[in-house]
Amino acid sequence: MTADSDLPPFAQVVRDHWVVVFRLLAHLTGNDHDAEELTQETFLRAWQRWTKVQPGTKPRAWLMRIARNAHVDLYRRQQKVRFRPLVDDRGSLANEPSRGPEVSEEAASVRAALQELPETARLVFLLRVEGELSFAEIAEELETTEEAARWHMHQARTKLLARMTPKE
Amino acid sequence: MQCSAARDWLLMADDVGQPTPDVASHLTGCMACQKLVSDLTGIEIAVRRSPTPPSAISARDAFLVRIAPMPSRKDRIRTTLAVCGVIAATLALAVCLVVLVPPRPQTEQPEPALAQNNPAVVEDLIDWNLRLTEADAPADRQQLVRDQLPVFQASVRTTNLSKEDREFAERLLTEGRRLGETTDPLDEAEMFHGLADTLLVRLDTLASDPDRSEFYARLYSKVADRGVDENLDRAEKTSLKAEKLIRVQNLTKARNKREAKAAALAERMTGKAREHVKPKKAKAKGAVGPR
Ligand SMILES: [Zn+2]
Repeated sequence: MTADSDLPPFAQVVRDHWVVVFRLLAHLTGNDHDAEELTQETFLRAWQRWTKVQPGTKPRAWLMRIARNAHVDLYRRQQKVRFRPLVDDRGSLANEPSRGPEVSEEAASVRAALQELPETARLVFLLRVEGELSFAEIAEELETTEEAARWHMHQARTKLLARMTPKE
Repeated sequence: MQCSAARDWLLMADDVGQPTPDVASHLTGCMACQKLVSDLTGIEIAVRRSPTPPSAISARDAFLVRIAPMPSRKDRIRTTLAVCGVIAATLALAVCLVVLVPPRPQTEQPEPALAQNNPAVVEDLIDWNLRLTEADAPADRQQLVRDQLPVFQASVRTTNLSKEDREFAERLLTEGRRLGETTDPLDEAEMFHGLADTLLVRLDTLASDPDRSEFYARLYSKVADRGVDENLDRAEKTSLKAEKLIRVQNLTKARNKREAKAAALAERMTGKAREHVKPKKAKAKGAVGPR
């Protein structure tokens, strides 16, 4: 039941997965500043729970779950403090100049395209591409079937193709 | 294989660069599907190429420093003595300054807020209290307190909490420390009953707020089931002297009264909050028999 069974020391987990968690959150929030705050929060929560982790748990999938929950919490808090319109404005938020220094044109267009995906499709795509989770792991995380996870990937790739590849 | 089948396969593939033999043979003769593979690969490359800002790396390194292991007991004593010396000297200087210089309004230096508006720490504290009460061996309990108390103290200090959540979190810190020192199921059942009562009062004021009530309802359910009922069961299984038997009976009555209140409150709630708060049917009323 404890962290010292077959699990690495927590500092190792931080070293191995911090960047991946940050990148997932940056794509989810479309904002480096929020992503940094949420990454801190994710690892703080993880640190507090590390001794409860079951042997055999895959730290990356586990951290991604905590990160997603932290993101949902942030989204709820933001909804409480200010009215935030949904899809359209989130798309345009991705193009705001205030989102951090040196975001290249390509990176900005990737962010904008990701922000336009339906929530679950975006999550599946990011967990696969950035998190490198298998579809079976993604299905487990999202409490769905592998088939459904693949279908969301289909949706995500189709929409990203339409948005990101030049028409002939 | 038809284009549409190959296309669907590619759009759902683990890795578009690793086609099955069927898909691979279709690809050799189909320019359109080859372009699809190249476009899909291009998209993933673009996503992976988006840069990670250097500030994310510095934040990681700062976090690693923060979680670095505490110094050994000897080192701590040495440091404490050194710090005491510095504090004594500073105090002496401060006394002189206060006497000599009139006070000026000061700006308070807040601690850096790591996590904001995060009542999740309250749930973590409850889970910690429950793990403590469920740990049989005193050594396991002491270990849990040693490992986690400083982390939780820091977390409560740096988390932005409402007044009620903060008071409750402080109380959970105190109870956790106490659970590390004793093991008595009846004492512990009484303590958790107090926590459950507080949570119920809190829920009463939040019944119309589904998000928050679900959170506190979940906490209530954990505390009531694992903190109160299971400890009551444990207490009943040990041979009790008359005085303790009376306490068990009183606590059982109080527990049942609280559950009646919870049942009435559940009627005003919706969804999961209601499920959490509604007393479990299987539970025997009037006695804490085995379930
Ligand atoms: Zn084809």
